[in-house]
Amino acid sequence: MFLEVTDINKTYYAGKVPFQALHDITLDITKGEFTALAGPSGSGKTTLLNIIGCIDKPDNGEVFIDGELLTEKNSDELAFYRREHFGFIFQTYNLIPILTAFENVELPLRILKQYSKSQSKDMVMQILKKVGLEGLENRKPLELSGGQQQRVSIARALVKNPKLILADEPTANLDLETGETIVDLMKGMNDEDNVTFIFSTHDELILKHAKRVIRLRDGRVIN
Amino acid sequence: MKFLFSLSLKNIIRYKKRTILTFLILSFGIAFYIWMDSFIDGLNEQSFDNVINFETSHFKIQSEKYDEDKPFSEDNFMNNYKEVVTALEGTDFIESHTTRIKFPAELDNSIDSTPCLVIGIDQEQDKKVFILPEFIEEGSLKPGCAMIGKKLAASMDVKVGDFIYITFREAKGMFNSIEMEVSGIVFSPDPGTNNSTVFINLSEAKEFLNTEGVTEIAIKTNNRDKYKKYKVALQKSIPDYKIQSWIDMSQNFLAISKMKKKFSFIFVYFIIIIALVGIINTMLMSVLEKKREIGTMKALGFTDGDILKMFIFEGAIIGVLGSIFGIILSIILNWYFVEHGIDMTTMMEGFGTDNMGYKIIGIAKSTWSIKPMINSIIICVIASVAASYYPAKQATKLQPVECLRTIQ
Ligand SMILES: Nc1ncnc2c1ncn2[C@@H]1O[C@H](COP(=O)(O)OP(=O)(O)O)[C@@H](O)[C@H]1O
Ligand SMILES: [Mg+2]
Repeated sequence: MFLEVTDINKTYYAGKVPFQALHDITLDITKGEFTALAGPSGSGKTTLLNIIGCIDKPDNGEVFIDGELLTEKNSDELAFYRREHFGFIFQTYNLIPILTAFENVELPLRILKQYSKSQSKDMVMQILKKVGLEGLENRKPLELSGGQQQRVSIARALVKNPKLILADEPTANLDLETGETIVDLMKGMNDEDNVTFIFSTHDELILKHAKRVIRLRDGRVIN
Repeated sequence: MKFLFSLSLKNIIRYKKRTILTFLILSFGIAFYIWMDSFIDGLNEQSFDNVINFETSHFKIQSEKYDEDKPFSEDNFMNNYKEVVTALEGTDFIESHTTRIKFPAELDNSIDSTPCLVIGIDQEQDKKVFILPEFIEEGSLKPGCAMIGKKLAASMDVKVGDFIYITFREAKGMFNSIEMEVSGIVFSPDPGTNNSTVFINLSEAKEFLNTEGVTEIAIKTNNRDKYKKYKVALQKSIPDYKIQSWIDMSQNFLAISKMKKKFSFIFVYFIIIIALVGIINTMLMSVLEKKREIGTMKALGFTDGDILKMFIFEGAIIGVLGSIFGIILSIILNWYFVEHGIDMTTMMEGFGTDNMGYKIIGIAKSTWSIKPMINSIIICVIASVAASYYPAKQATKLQPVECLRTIQ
């Protein structure tokens, strides 16, 4: 099994009042899946994706990838793990505003320090072309439309060929048409390069594009 | 590293107005500090030059039992001063010497009287050690006449050509009163000289006091900074005399000038504190505004250390550039005061007769000193790094998602 999530619980505290956002979540993902986490707002999709991506900690339960137990690692080890193996796509894009599209996509390669300057340049240009941003590489995020910014963020997530891409509502800030092209773009990459995707959405129309759907409700898996 | 550094640079130029404002406050604070330090050093240097050239020379030799508080004691006079001069002949570091007689007296203009200090000088020798002639504003010291300080002349309402009476006790203790014509006026940087000194010729002073001796021998050496070594040498060749170096004689002035410097710096510290608060504020805002970006970077795999470094670079760049810019500003500012100086006459008059304790009249000039420049680089860099460390450290303590949750 590629990704195994077992018995994850997560409780938030709003002041002193506890709120359990995830209840005993257990699930498996195989390599090359194109899986959607579906559920209404507040069902725990973001919380679960964050825990899988190791940018948040569960109260208990375990996350394994390729047999490696991630929930045991310290924050530096996790930073190195994310650097190499995870790609993130956020609902609000989260591009670095002072960097151009090119530099934003280059960022993961710069910290990875595995490629020469010219190698990484080729990789960035290639992925930018793939997401349809050829010629826009020198624009800053604010000079791009929402759909274009999300393409930059997809390119940023994909450029280093990670094991897993986690996309939290990647289409929620886009109109339906743009949203569908973005999902199609991700799907194309999943088809061609066998990249594993988990993305969340509360939009039934977007769900149609998923190859597998995991439904959440009130912090529980219901299918 | 290089990459983090370039990110820091980009972040600095991101908020141009704020950065420029922080830079300017920092730079002006530093420029002012450096200039102030250099200018006060300049005042002190000039004061020392004046004191040496006018009052103390490099060394003063007096009778072993010399006691300032018993001015008419015979013990104060060196009757055998010629032997001392002979003993010192051939001492390689002595450039010139002169003898003087100093004694207190009452100066009387036939209406008022005031205490004064009479100094008998050997004009030919005296100008080889002191630079009194440069400060003569009017007339000269003629035989049988007196030359007096400008303020003293003004307060006693005497001019060149007027007569004064000086009353004193001679060396044997008898009172004596002499009428003298004023033939010259001295305007010296030394408040004491200006306010209360009467110069007469040495031979006449001896006559008046009925003595063969003098009260002091003033010595000019080839290097005033070797005063310690030279003093030891002098003590060896003339062990039975009281020998004081210019540093010994300036202890009071030194102590006062140090205190004054500290006092002047309260203002400078105030400005520097404002500048530092500016940096701290800038860095705090910088971190807070970027909280979400910090979250993104963490998600992309930046370690806490990377993030910390990025902000510390940012602080350090502000500190280094701010201090360099400040130093350049200070050089421009100080250059003017080194080249042209500032006329202290009117300014000092506002502070009464003591010239704020500085022994300067006329143009005061600044000097170049490296110390405050190095100080400001060190202070600025340490402070800006410290200012960026705290907020950045706080940001690294948060889970990535806690940073990402920030709404902007
Ligand atoms: N930091 C938090 N503090 C308190 N409650 C939270 C916090 N984050 C999420 N929650 C709550 O947890 C539940 C799940 O949230 P989330 O995972 O964001 O759901 P979704 O992404 O499906 O909308 C929601 O009820 C939400 O209000
Ligand atoms: Mg959500």
